[in-house]
Amino acid sequence: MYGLVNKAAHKFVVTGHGEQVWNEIKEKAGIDVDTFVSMEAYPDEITYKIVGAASEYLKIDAQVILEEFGKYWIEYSMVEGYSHLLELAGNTFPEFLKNLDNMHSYIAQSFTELRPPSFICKEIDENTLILEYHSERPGLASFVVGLLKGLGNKFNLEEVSVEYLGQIEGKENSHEYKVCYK
Amino acid sequence: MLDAIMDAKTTFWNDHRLNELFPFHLVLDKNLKIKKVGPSIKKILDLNIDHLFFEYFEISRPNNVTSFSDILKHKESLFLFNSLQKSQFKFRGQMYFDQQENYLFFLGSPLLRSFNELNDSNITLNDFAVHDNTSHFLFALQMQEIALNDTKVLSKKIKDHNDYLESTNEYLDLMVYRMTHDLRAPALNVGNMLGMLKQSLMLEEDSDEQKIFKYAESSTNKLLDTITSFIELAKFKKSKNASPITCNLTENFEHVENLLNHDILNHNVIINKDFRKANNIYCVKEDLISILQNLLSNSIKYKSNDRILVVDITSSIKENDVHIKYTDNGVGIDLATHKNKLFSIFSRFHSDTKIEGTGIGLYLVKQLIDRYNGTITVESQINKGTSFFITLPKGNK
Repeated sequence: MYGLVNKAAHKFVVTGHGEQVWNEIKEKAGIDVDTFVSMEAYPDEITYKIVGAASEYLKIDAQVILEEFGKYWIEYSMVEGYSHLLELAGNTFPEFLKNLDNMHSYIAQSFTELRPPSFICKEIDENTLILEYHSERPGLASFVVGLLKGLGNKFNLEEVSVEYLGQIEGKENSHEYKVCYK
Repeated sequence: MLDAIMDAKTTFWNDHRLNELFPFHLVLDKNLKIKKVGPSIKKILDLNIDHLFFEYFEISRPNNVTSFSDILKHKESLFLFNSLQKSQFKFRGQMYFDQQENYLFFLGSPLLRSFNELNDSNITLNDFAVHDNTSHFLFALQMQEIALNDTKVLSKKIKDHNDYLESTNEYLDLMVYRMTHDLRAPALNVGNMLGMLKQSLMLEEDSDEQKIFKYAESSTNKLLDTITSFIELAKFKKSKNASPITCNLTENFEHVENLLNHDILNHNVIINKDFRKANNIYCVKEDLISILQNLLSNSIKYKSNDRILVVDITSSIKENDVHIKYTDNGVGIDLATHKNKLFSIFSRFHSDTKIEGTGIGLYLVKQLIDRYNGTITVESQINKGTSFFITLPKGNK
């Protein structure tokens, strides 16, 4: 995972619980990195360990943490210098989701160690879409749910509901979601 | 409108494909009147059909292109032109003349160097063809900016940390310096007082009181040695910023002999030196003196009681280095046991604790040699003696 994800995780914990809690979670996770560099690739293990340690320390289910982190990721991106990219990706919620895949592809062109997920977005009607999420990494389905809700906040939607439809048959780490929004 | 002109059966350029593959296209006739505007250009510029291209755009490259025939001459060229309505919008691409359709097609995309150029345009990724590299370029630009910001933050962090370390080091250096100098004088006084008291008491040779005085004098000397070592360490740290010069080995070794003259005479030390083959070393003068002084001082400290101490020191040149061989016939070092900690600070290799020493001499010698990317290796035999092989950079003649 690129450092920017771990940086966001750091900020996420600090915003909610303070620097001291972050230091304790880092120590619990056995992470010896002082500062994460955004464009540097780190082993995925680091991110998973942070989530695991945070879950234990804060006594919150890891899936809940991942979902909240997903929501936070959008806010963080807007503030931490990614706002232009987010604006370029779309002016509406469905437009943004349809461009999500290409967005990740454009970034992957520049960063060869990045192995981003893929997305397929199918509009069912003007308030419903089906999102397919394909990843090499396990266990991040809840993060996507949070991401969708965070995007709903970004586009000032009244409501975004995400129904997890399940794993896509025959594909490990591929999931399907029904997203209703207004 | 173009549907009437273009026969979808015969032409590649039917509307929806042109819009999808080149959303920033323009279609011009031979009079350079605009006949069609791509959907993405339409989003950012207000262009009227049948108006002249040059009413809305200025071609910056190629130079001096003002007519249809000029454009045809440059059919292999990259065209750059900017909008006269909104000067921040520039376009790049090629002009393709379709002889069948008798139309000129501009096929290209916006020339963007920053996100600022997209301000107020409402352009999103959907407005670019998937194959268009402009989007990738913009993403790469943004990532670069993020990486640059990260670098600035990290640089500041490193600088702040360095400033803190520098100030802490200065403080510690000052403390060590003050402490050692302030301790040295009283320790010297105690030693002198003990000597004077012993003399005035005229104690018997083997008396208990004499033994107590000897023990007190030995402890005082040990304390003085330790303080001297700390002073040496403090000096070593301070000398790091001095500039090296060409130093004369003969002169500096003679200086060291003068410093240790009392011990050399007391112990009848024989010193054989030959620097004719290489006499100049490029280093800080005080560093060279410290290296030589520590080696000679150690030889005297660890001389054998069974024989006169003999020290041989020679030098030679190999490529850009001066090679110094320093040998004594002292008690030697058990390298099998102590090899790994030979140059560690506060390490001692002799079980005879009566021999005074703080274990700092060889550590300092190694640190000083390392400063010049030099090397030091050791050969030794117990009860035979020790040889040090040192390389240091050659000085100018």
